[in-house]
Amino acid sequence: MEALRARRLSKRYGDTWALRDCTLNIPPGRVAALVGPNGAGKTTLLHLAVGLIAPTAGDVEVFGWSPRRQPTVVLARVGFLAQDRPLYRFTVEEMLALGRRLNPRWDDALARRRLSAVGVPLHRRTDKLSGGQQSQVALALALAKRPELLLLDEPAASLDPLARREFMEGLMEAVAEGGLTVVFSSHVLADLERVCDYLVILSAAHVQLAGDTDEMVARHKLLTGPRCDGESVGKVHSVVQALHTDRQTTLLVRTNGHIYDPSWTVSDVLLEDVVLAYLRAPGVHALPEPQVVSDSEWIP
Amino acid sequence: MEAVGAIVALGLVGGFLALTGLPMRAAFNGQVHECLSLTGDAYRQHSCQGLLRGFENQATFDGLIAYFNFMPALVGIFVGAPLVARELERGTHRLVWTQGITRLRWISIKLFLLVIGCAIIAGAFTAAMTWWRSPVDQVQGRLLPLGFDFEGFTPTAYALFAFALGAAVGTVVRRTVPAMAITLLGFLAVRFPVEFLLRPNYLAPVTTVTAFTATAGSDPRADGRGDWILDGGLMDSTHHRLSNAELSQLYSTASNGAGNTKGGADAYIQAHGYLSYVDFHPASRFWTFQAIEAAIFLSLAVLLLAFTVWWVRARSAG
Amino acid sequence: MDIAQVPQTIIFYLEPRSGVAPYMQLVRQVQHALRLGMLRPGDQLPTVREVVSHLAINPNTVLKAYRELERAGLVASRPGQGTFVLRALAGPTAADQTALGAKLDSWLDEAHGAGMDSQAIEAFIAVCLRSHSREEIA
Repeated sequence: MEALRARRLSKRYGDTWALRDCTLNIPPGRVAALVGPNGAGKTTLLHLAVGLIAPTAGDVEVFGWSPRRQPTVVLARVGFLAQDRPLYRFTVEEMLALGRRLNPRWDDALARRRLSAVGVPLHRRTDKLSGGQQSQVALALALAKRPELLLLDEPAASLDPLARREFMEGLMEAVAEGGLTVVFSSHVLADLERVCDYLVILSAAHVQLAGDTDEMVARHKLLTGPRCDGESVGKVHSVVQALHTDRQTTLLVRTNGHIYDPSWTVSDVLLEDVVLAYLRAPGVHALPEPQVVSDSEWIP
Repeated sequence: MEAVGAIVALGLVGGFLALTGLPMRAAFNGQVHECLSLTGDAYRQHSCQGLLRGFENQATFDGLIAYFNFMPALVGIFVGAPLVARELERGTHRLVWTQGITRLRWISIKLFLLVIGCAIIAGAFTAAMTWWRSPVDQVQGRLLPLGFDFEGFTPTAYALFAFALGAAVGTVVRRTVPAMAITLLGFLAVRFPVEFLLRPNYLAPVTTVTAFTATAGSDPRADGRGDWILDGGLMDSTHHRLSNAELSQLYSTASNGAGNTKGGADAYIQAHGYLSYVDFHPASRFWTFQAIEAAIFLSLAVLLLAFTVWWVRARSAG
Repeated sequence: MDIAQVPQTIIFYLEPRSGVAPYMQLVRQVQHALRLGMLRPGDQLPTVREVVSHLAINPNTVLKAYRELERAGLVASRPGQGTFVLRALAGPTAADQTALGAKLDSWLDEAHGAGMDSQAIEAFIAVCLRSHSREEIA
């Protein structure tokens, strides 16, 4: 059972498609990043997954359940941390009381443990906390409902590097406790490899590429060689990006097997380079997505 | 927040009512009270008409109390309108609608608790107004608008309607301040037409017709204290009601011909068989009218609440 | 987290821009420590949680690295206890190292004589290594 599954999922606002024909399968136990420029549909996808909005076409399932048709089942299993971490102007203690009342599976001890570990004062009002502390409160609230899937919309966007690191540390610790799938959106590409093992590239309302990050990095290569049009390479491999000088051609390709042509110098690429190459070429789609090697490699 | 605001508002209203209500009682408890049990000559000897007028003019703060008609609207503006609009405005709906309970349950529980809260506040307001009005009620009755609007079921019905209207408007408009303004306008747009156009017609008015006499003036009722008079005037012997033009013509004819008749114009009118009539709702209809009016506003409130629940549950809110 | 508090035998680090997948970086660091004798059979590797809170890294990455090491027969995980080193990795013996070093030294002299500077030599070695490993695969 996929943690998050979308089939031809589409959402239109007026004349504009915020998300179009999005097909995705995020396996359980993964930490998946949704990357893409602003307006690519990341927030829309997350809002559809948690049932805040209804799809225009297609459907989305969380562990096999529809967020709109079976909200009770889905909401009990999904934690959501919205962009800009909305909180009431309550004290942290009052926020915990609210969480307790709104969540049947609430784990108060867990919330308190997390908050004291990062030194958030419980008696202070949330609007008097630092951005990093607010994010920690929002994360503690989302985790204390004991979700199986945690969705986070740009969780670290407005945080300073230290607070971002602390936030990610807290998030990764929660994953380490097991039984949690994470999907988070981000337009910050740095450090992605450190925290995610599954990547979805969204661009202009479409899914461009989705799959295991290690495999994604392994399959993409940078080819450098004498100037040519790259056509022969394109017959076997997919050329994502081509740069030409008078003498030289540099290709970023998604390989389908080995590159035997000795005129190319083949080098490895960073995940960040792969993402940037796709984002620069919104027309390139690499679907169907690369197959996951084996699910058994991952936390069940 | 809302609870604190409501308590402060109720405190201010209560303070005003206590400060004006106690002197009003002092003014009432003397001769004014006695006049109420007097009739005929005794009534005239004590110049009761003047006393009662004076009491009504000084003690009842009619002009000011009329503004209390906005009190139920405040519930809609400050409790109803922000209920969903503020969540949407601040983005906290994304927090609260993604917790373990569904938003259907969330909105249902919120509306239910606030309906009870508003009813309690409106009940307290009604009790305070009823205490304050009790001397005035003995003079004027309470079927007249200034009594009817503040006693019985109506204040609670208005408040619940205003709350439901505010909640619905806030949910659709999604912005607190515009929702507040629309709620006020919407409340007035229903409240006043109902009072001025519908309420007089809840039941057919009673019409009393008597022969015109100078002493009774234009009011032919024996004891009409507390009745709600809608219309009154003269009719000719064929029961044709005289228009204002016909009346002034009659009076000028009567004055011109008065020389021929003893007793002046009144005697002339009496002698020519004119009749006095009054259309009114008797004071005893108070509870019937209360029930009808409350039913109208409570039905609207139920519809608006149902609409709000449906909208919150069914509509997208990203 | 204070490093001194962690009773562990190896402290992992990540080079974000190395081009090597994070799990492979962890694998290599363990292999390196085994070769240099910093890790010995019976030693316990840090728990997944320890690595996660130290590096703010995805626990799946750590698990993947440990599985890789397990598959290579270098470590074994005992459920409920942790992951332990099974065997050391043999590096070259001291005599071998000396002999290889001397050969490389004379080769470097030759390369310099052929007009290659240090950067050119590094690039050349990288290309040779890659084609060498490709031949092994093929």
